Amino acid sequence: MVETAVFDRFLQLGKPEEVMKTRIAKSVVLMCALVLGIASVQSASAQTFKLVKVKGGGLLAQVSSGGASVWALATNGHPYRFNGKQFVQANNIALSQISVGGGNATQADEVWALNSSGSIYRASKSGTTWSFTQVPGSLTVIAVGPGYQDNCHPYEVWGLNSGAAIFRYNYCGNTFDQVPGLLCEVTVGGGDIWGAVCGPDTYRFNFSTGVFDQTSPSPGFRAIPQLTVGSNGDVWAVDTGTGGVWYYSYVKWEDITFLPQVQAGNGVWALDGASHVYRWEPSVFDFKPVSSASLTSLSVGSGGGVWGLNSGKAYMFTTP
Amino acid sequence: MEKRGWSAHDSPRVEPGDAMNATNSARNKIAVTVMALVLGMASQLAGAQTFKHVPVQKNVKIAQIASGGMSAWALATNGHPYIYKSGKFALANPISLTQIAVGGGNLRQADAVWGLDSSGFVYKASKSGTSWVFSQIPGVLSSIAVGIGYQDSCHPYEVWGVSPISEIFRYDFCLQGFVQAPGALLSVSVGGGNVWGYSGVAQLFRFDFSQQSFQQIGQFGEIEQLTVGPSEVFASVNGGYLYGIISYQGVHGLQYFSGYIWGGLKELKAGGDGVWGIDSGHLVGRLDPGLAQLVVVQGAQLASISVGSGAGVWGIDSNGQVFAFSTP
Repeated sequence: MVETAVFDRFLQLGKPEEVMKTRIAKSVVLMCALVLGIASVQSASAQTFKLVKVKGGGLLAQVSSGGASVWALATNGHPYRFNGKQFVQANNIALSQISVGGGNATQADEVWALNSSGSIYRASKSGTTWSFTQVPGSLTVIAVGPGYQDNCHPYEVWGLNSGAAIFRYNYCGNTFDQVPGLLCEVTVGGGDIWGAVCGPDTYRFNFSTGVFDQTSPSPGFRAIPQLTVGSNGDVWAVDTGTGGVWYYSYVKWEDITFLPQVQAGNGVWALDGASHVYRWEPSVFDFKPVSSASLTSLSVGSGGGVWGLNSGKAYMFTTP
Repeated sequence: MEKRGWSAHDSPRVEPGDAMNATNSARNKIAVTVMALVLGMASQLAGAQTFKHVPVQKNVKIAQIASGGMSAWALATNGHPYIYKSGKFALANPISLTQIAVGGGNLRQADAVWGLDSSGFVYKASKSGTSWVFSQIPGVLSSIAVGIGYQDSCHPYEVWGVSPISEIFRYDFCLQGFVQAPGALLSVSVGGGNVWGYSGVAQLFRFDFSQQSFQQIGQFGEIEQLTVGPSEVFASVNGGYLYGIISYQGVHGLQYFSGYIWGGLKELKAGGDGVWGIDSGHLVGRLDPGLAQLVVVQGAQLASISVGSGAGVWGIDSNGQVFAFSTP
């Protein structure tokens, strides 16, 4: 009974005034922790981001970490694949976006990409060569993850076109099927699909009805949230109107802190405005500074690990 | 409509420790579950997402399987450790073990692989060329758990064990030995850099790295199993009910998930590759985050399961055959 009461209290947290006070206090604590803590506490830590070479020395613009592989796009758009030691160029095609996911020790990741015109490409390996085959359609966003629903969707491959129309790839028909509704953002993780309209409302795809349902209760985002879904379906959002980070705990949204960029996968990682890196520490329900690493973007896979970019160079988090 | 949960009734929470409530609820759940299984399983026959057989060298029968961040290991019924490589499990070493734990790896760093033998002696696996070597580490343990370590350079992986008299030990990679932690636990679980455990009187504990001791989180009824994922903790409580342990600003609570079927959860495992369970009838379920309930995986009958954080979901059936979950 005591625990039930505690949980009820847990559910009742989140009044606006308390939220704002808590979040401001947390931001101050985080800043102090960064100024005072990193040098003294973590100087001996081996757990940090380490530079990973790119064969040929090219600069990278995007990195995407999946379940069993890591891919990157160079600043000239060429796709690179991490071979366990360094990134090597996989193909001469020029791409503007790449998404990787759904793999593990027994099945390969799916690798999908878009070029600057929105044309869609699916990567496949033939011998030792990677080819990118164009798939009909035009998208502005593509997201890939494992698919648990049926044999026509062994991976969940979702995209949005320039008119905000929603598409899901059907491996039986080899085509993108349009899904009812309009979204400005779609994200995939743990077999779950989340999206946001061009405003504060969030939606979750209902596989039984085939439509996106608005999630409730609404957390009251001020503007479109940047959503990310973890490998177990845990959902995170950054309210672009306030910079507030929110977590959806299967029941309701909980505000956490202020951080401009959050990425979830096998663990949840974040960046602040000064390129400091944070890792979600579930036991204390807060983000903790990770290391002296400075990153401008993050990608969090499952078996692919945690990766970041800074000034075109790739860094991977390692613990030994 | 493609799937049914193990329990479709509207019962968001069951209070732990309330035996009468649990019994009545269980009866209702069984009835609903029978219908759900009859109606739901049939509609799932078209799914390609299921467990597929994986061969083992010389068709050896497997007794335990352990999935990590980038590798999967197994122990044969004779105790020999096998590693998954190129589509099958191959013998790694002729040592005889009774328990193996794997974790903490990814594309850039190898999993840590630890084992115990029937005397409780502890072994750490390492690769030398193409061979796997199991080196004995001083100490005697009855269980061992391995995962990624985020704390400091002496703990790049979290390797924890419980001795036969419930003492708790953490391996220090600088000292190359186990260091005893205060307290006594029946079982310890590692995941996402966190360490949780429970005692024989149903008390749940989390290791506080700043205080270097286990702090009691609560007393949630009879905990039968505890499993720690990358961002969440789950427990099987009071006869097989699935609960998530939720923490917020120092306050801890329970989230009930529908997942009870005949006899409740026999095994519950969480990792970066999901939250999975097996019931006493060997049915397999995956926690569907959208439905917030366990959903039966078609065509799978497993006696044991292991959930990795990148290496996937693996199981063993009652004949010692190995299966890996795949979606294509």
